[in-house]
Amino acid sequence: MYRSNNMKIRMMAIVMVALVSIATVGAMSAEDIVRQMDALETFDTSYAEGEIVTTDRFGVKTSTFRSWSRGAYDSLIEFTSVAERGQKVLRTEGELYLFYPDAEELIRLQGAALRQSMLGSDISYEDMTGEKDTLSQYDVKLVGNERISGRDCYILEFSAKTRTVAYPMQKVWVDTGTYMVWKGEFSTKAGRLLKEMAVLETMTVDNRTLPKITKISDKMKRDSATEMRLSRLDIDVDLDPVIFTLQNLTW
Amino acid sequence: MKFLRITTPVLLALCSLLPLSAAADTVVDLNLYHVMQVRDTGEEVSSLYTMAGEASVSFKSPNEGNVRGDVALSIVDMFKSGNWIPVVQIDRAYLRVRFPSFRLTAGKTRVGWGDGMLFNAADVLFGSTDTGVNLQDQELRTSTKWLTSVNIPLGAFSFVEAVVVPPEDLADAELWKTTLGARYYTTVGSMKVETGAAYRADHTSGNPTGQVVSPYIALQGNVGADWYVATSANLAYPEDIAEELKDSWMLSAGLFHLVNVGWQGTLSFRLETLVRPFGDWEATNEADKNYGLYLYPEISYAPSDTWSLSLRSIVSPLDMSAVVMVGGSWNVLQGFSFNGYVTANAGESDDAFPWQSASALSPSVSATVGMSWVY
Repeated sequence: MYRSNNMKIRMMAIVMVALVSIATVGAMSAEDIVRQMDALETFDTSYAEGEIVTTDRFGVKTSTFRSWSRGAYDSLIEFTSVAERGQKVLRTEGELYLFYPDAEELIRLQGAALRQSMLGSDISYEDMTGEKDTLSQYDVKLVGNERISGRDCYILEFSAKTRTVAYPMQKVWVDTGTYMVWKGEFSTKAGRLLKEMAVLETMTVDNRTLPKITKISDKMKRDSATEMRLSRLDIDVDLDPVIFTLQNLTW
Repeated sequence: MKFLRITTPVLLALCSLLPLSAAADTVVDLNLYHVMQVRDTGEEVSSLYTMAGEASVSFKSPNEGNVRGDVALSIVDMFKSGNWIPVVQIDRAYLRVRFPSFRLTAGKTRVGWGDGMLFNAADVLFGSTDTGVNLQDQELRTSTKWLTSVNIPLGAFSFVEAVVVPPEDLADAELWKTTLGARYYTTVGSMKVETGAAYRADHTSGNPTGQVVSPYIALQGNVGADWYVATSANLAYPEDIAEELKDSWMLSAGLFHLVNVGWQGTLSFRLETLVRPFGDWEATNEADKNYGLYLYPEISYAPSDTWSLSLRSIVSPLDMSAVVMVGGSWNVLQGFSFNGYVTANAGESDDAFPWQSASALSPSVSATVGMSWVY
């Protein structure tokens, strides 16, 4: 149960991280672009509804969810699809709480469970809401420009500084106007492509262009892809502080 | 097939309730499996092969508003007196109401005190010390009781909880045999601190001690791996307090660590122990063993959200016996999984987990292959 949720949370995390962008103009260095992205990866607050659709040769599996986030640390995810209905994950500064309603089980995790990388890359639970410092983990190069989905994009190449990240190499296409990440390639140190991420559809929220449907393809598997589809995203909304408490988690 | 034939009318009857619960979310969990067992009694070796099943239907209220409810019924095919008999039981049936300053829960449900997958000395209301569990179950402790609880928040991550559990045995349901419990849950720095107590009467089966208060304390934190410890004991009246305290004192402790493997996989390690300082510390031939030490190691590997493999064992180091379970699950379609498990005992006939046993509940080897669907 936990393992299954963990994967879904990873999916949401990478998209939520990719969601953050803002328009700036003028020539920027690779480091400036990354700092800009990192600085903008946390909403003051947000509320989202969506689904994770996994397609393989056996068919389609769908999990639906609602999520809330606040500031640099707090987030709550509630699964609403049949098999996982009512299961929740509350993330706070330094802690992760899991709640399974059928067993009335409240599990508190810290440490590795919190810090583990998400999607095997540089994204962790901490990245879901915490402030990122990509430059402490990666060296970055601006290697060119390319049009993706009709938009001009910077092409950034990341190479890991540490061995703690699962993907030593990353290549990311960043919109020069909105700073939205349109495409990503995640590879081994030897350059073997493991995963691709692409934004299929965008939406405008609070004058920002954000991903609505994101597709992630596992290049190690044939005929396998996962789509993260957001049906609703509200940012900088008023949220009741009770949302991020044990009382609400176990309700 | 027997299961389907017998339980279909029951399922249809349950499903007829669905229109009455238009606002409820209905979830059906259907498990069908082939069971193969080999039993070595010491005098002969016999085998058994059959098919069995279990179905549960849950009616949950929507996650909105200030009132929640959940009713879950399960149908199990029990083999009794040479016949398969469908047994319907109430797994959960409770209402939960949220008021501005507290939360009230009433019905058949569970309260999870302390931490521990198998061993949890802080679980003074339900008990999490026996080793007679089915290691193939995803959750090892799921029993529920009719109870009423009040939960009062004291902050974002602190609360107090009080619980009343009426007597379960109607033949012995006097008011003074009501079980009462209370706990306080908070965090101190990065550590969770939980303490509480339960009061009950006639706690010790076969050796009633009158009235018993069982205090406990449970801590949880992280030192690279997540750790959790708990201890509890019984204060008895009018029995000899020191003697009962000594006999009932127990400690449980656990370590849990989870690492990523690849971009999707997770590998988790868990090790729990149960220690009874004044239990038996030498191997004994007695049927009711009160060993001072048990271990529960568990390793789970999930290469993706589709596959998972697990190895679980309960080890009795004092008589060098163990029960070991190896299993796997493949979530191939939406809500649908294939499951397979093999469980075996490894011990001598007088050990805690004997290979040779006359008990029908303790086969030498058991293999289960089946499927489950949640819809």
